[in-house]
Amino acid sequence: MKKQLKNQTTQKINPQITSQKIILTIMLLLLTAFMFGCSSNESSNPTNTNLPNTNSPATQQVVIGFIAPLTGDAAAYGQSILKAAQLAQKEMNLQNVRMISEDTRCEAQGAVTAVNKLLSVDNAQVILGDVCSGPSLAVAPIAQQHGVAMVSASATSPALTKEPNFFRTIPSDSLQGAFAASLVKEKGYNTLAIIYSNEDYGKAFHDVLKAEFEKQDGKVVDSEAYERSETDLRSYLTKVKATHPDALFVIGNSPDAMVAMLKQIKELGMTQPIFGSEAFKAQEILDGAQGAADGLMVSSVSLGSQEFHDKYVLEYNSEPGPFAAQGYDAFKAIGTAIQSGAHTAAQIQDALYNTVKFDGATGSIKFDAQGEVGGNYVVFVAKNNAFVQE
Amino acid sequence: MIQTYLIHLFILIGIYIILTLSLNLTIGYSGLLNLGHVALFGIGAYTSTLLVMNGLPFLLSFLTAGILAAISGALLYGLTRKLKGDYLALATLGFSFVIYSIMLNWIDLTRGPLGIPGIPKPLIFGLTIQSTGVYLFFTFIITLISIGILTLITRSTFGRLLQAARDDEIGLRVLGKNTYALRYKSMAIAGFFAGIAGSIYAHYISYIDPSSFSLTNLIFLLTAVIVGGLASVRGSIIAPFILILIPEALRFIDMPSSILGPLRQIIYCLILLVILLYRPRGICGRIDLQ
Repeated sequence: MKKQLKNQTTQKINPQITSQKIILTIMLLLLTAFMFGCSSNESSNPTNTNLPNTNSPATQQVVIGFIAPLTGDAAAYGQSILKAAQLAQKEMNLQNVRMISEDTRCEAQGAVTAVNKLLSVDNAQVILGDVCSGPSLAVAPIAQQHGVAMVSASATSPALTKEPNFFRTIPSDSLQGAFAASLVKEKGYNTLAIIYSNEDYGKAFHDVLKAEFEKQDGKVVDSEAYERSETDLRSYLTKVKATHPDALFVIGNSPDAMVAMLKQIKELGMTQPIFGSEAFKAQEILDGAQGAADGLMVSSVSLGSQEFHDKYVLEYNSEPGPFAAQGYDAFKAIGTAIQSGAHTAAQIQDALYNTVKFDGATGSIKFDAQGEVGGNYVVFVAKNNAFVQE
Repeated sequence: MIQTYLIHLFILIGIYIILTLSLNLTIGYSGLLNLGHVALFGIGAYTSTLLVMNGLPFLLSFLTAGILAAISGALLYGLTRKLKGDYLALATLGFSFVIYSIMLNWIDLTRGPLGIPGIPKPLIFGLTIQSTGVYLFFTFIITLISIGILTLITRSTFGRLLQAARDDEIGLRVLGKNTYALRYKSMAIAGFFAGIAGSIYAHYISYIDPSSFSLTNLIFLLTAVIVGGLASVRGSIIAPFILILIPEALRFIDMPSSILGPLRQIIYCLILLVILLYRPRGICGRIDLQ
């Protein structure tokens, strides 16, 4: 018996020893990873500083922290904005500027980690992002503590207006809701059913749209909220159908759900005209819905000038994605601030408030006292697998 | 300046150690495949946030968060106690979805999908924890206390009885032990720690919305328990370090920004796979998942 017991105890100790080895190897792995990062930074820095710097008085390196969902279901927006920002960077050719991108996965915790890394490791002087409103709300106070400004290309939640260091090149949802409400009213529809994705963007948009539509003597007969990634929306649509609205307003920002919704509306034999939020203005929606999208009317923020479109196509050989024009303008706003001589966080924030003014891809950009821009909206109608501007 | 970043990571690690360890108490030590842990975490976060924002002192809200989560944990076990294995897993997963839906749709209380921004920093004995350094100290103390209590619990008679109930439930009942009562307590204790972890999380991140307590986070917690090893306190302390620090270390490898997001996740997954390939029971695990 005693021998057996001894055997058992030695067996117990063995796995502990190997576990220590494994922990050691992992620590080593982490260490090498850190070293990799350092060495590559060193090699990239001199090439930047060695270049002659004649057109800007500031020789100090400025780091722009780019945060966006680069993975996950909102990655399409992040990638699209990143590409546009890189296009602007290439075009402005600022010698002393580096842009470092980090993934937020569109989650509060991911965004807080990314911003902490950018602010304390890379010493970023300004942040470009985030794409989603929720994470933007989470990181704005942190950036503010560091005295760093944020410029977002796509976060439209009205709650962000209150953040003093937050700028955006896209108008707040409160403006878009008002525009959409008068569009429906103008077309002569008095009762409306709204189907929206149940997250910060959809909910805020819905609230404004409903309030504005009712202010204009319209009646919202039904509001249905679906989960952002849900693809079977028949139960909501059946309820909506029973209320016989004059028109439908659909709000979404996940392509799969939006395609499914358009198809299922037709399947259920609903013939009402459909109005959509801006994310519906994408070729992949039309391709996916195959005819079910015909007649869909989309109120959209500006998609950017023809000039921007041509430049983008020339560079990437593909159509600009959602919010690309806003992303281009967001970088341009920061770039213009840096060109005007600002190179510390405070100077950049100051310049964004006071001196930055230019004609960007989405029109004339000038931030007001809340860091907002005015809204330019356009209406598109889907016809024969293409969007036609109305 | 790098310390701000490291402080942030260590605060997160502290929070996740409490979460992993308490989840391990139910999965590893009690043998209950509990997938409702992330809901208890969320209950703690929302309780503490709403109480503090309605004028209650922080410490009271902090404890209430723990207690409410503990009650929810016990309630969850009360509802699912007749279930075993996969069925228990599904029922508790259902609980996670129910709580998620409540957080999402009880808009008057939780502001629904808009989330609650601007959660104040804790105010303890008239002092506000403003700097992240002090917050790390606070998290560190709470984490140490939690580790201490949970280690004592697992080593106590109660802890041994829990493990006995996991390995041979009928045997233990024959000896006259009430296995249900044991598991009620274990779920309540795990709930309490998940609740206080939620409170620490909410006041640190300063913004919560239902998506912070969704399936993604649950998978992270389960991964931490499994990588660390079932029924191992040490494993549950090591695993959050590995799971949080590896993706952060990957940030420092330069790669083209167009593939950076996906590539980092691929490398991260590979590392996890390799760990589990060589240590199928986790780093310090001693038992297999039933």
